[in-house]
Amino acid sequence: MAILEVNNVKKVYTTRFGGNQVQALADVSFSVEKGEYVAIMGESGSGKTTLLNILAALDKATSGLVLLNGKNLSTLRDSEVSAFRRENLGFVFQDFNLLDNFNIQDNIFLPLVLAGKNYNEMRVRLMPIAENLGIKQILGKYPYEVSGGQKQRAAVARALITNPQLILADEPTGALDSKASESLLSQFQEINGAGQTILMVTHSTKAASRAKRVLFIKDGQVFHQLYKGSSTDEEMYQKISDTLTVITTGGGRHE
Amino acid sequence: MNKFFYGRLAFSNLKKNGRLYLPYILAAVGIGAMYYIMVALTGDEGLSKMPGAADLKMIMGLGCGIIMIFAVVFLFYTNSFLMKRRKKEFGLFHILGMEKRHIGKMMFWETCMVASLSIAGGLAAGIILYKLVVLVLLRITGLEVPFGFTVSNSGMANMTVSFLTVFAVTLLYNMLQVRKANAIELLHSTSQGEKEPKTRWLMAVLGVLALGGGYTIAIVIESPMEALLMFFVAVLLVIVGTYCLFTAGSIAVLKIMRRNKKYYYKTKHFISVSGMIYRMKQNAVGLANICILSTMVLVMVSGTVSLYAGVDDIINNRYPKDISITGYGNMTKEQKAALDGMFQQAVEESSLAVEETVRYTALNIAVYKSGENMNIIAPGAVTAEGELCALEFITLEEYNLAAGEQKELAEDEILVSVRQGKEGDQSYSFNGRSFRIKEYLKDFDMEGLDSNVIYDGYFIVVRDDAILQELNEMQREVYQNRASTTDYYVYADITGTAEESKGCARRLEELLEAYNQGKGEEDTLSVRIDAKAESKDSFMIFCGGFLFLGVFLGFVFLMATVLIIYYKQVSEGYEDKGRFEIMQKVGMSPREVKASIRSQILKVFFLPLVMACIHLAMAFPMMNRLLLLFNMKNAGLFAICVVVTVGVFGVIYGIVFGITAKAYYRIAGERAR
Repeated sequence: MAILEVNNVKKVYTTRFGGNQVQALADVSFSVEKGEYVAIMGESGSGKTTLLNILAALDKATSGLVLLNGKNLSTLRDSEVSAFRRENLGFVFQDFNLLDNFNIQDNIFLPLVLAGKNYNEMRVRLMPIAENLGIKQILGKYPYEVSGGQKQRAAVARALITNPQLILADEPTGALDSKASESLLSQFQEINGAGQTILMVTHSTKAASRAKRVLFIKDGQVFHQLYKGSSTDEEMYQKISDTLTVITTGGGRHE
Repeated sequence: MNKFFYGRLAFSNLKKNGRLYLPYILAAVGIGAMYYIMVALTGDEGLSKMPGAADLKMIMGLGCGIIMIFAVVFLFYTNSFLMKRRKKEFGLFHILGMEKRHIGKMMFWETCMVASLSIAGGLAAGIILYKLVVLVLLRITGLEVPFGFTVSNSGMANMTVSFLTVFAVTLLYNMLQVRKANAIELLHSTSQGEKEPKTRWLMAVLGVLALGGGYTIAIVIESPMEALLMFFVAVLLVIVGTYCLFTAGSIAVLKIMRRNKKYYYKTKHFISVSGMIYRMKQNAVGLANICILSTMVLVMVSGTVSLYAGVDDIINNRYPKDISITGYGNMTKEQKAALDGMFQQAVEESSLAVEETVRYTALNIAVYKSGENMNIIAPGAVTAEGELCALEFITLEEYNLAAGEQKELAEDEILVSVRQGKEGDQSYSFNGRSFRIKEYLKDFDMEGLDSNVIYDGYFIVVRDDAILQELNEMQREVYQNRASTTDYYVYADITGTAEESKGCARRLEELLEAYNQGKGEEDTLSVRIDAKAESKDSFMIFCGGFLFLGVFLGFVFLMATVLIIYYKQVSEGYEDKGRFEIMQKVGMSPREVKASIRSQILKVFFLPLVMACIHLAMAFPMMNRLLLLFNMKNAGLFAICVVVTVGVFGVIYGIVFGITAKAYYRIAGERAR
């Protein structure tokens, strides 16, 4: 079944002065099945981040429909949005977004504490996740004391600990060196292998090549999509590169 | 390059940073204006012609010094805050190709603009407000208004030079800061990862001890004289304790809270405890400053207000009757009669009448009291043991006459009235000469000019003049030429207004002068005359001057408190902005975020006020004793003054908090929805 359905979503920003209208998303439709690992690619300004914000219920679509687990995001009341986000979504950001006044463990606990869970339950949930991500040793440290890769793994742990329906990742490898990127992507694949649905926005071909499906966005529309199927990472990398070449050289729409 | 380039750049920089610079300039204007007013008051010619203005001038001179010290500290503090916020900007300029000397030039122009605005504004505000301040001052001191609108040239010069110096020094300091740093450091100085503060147990314990010590001194000390000496020790201890507790104690407490897992991992506590640990590290010193400034404002204003409000009480304590006459130097019967006659004449010539008179002759001796032993020893002698007391002896005859009683005494018996000190002794022994205390006199109202409460005091009635002379001989032997004499006291209530009683006292002085004319030293009368009304006038000037200074400095400190709070809020706003956004992304609703941050700020900013109130409560007994030095014995009145002052201050503090909190939300909530 589809966990996420996006139907004809359109987003128009009105600039604060002068009333100029900027169309960020023209008409986006796609769906994500349970257990999928989808990457969304596009150049800067293609509308990726806008899309992600709408999926995260941080922003509202001008028109169209976003259904998460059958729930229409635009009908959520303001008071429900935060709890909904907390219970159904996990976030991984490019710049980690860890709070510098909490140590790593408390950063990971944050969504659970907000949900009112008790300490013992939090510990029980944390241990296997920390084990898998290899961050058990640094739980007591503060964000400024650990490396970027470790920070990002902490952020992944924070996203996972609520057992979300869907993980939304926004350029997760954007601030990492190649080695850290590589290990993070492997971890994403592992997590996905365990049944976790992931939606990742990126413009790194390498990151996208690890996903099971890649959507390309251009000028606010889904331009193309690729299924990995049984291809290897390298083959997928090649396919994505070819598609990107077509897009940047301005090839017409084909499918 | 256009030679106005740096000037224009400086101007646009200031405009861009208006949110930071406007309060800075306003505060400098405010302090400048106050400084000008103080200097101008000190040098005001109209004021120096007033009777009793010398006291006032001394008080104002004190004020000048305090404001200047304060201005320096304060402008430096704010300046360092501004620099911290602007380092990134300077770094950017540097990377864009400006050399450090160019940045220096730009900073020079900026400082010039800020300085000229502040000084010009300060002078303008000072000159305009001066008249108002003078009117207020004259009103509360009860002086007449003799002069018009004046501008003090020396005040203007003094203020301009002083503030120019301060600004020049801050500029120099800033330039050094920029010189030392490199571009990358400048760029990242505001976003350096803040380390979690360590718990400094030693400091926390030290803080508790210092504060406890200060409080103990304030509560335990009983004698006003000791209170005066120990006051500064107590103040120092409390200041040290406050700084230690705010910096180390707060973090220690918060960390203990964090260690308690059950408590800590609750939504409300989780965010606020960790946020407070972070906040306290940066703000501890600022908050301690606010706390101490607030305490100073409260102590100063409540103290001076109660002195002022208690003027009548104080005067009545000190001068039980309208006219007090003291004749010094073992006057003979004839001389006493002559003095009485002259007083009667003065009263009659002023067409007034005497309503009630108390007359007596008394011998004053200072002794060291140790248990029942009253040791007459020269002050400062190494053998001095016990507590210094003032004794006043009169004969039974005088007492019965003055009090309208018919008491009788045996040769070795005395009556005692305790002015200040303890009852309960069975007998007193004066250097071996022993007397049984027959009775403690209650309600004996004969406290006169010498009723001071700095030392313990006892009023002692002996049987006759022979015993009085015996005691007199004893003290003459000890004190030699510094021995006191038996003095003749006349206290009288007379009819007529305050002005008339002043006139009467003046007339008596004239009569005395005429009487003393051409007499040898032996026969001259040495007399002190006090009219209650006159003393009240001069005391009003004294208390009014202090009240004025108290409120004036209170304003200065309040302004500083306001500004510190404002800057704290602004800087927190910038820092919390990022946290605001992250928390929302992780699943906290904007309302929750706002509520949690609000409660944190509320706690952080009202902590100093609460602490200041505790300080004040602890200082109350000591202040009460200090006020005794001014003959202010009305503790109830003082308590009311304290409560009212705290109330008014609390309201102002609350309003300031409200306004600055708005600035905070504007910044922190700019992008958070």
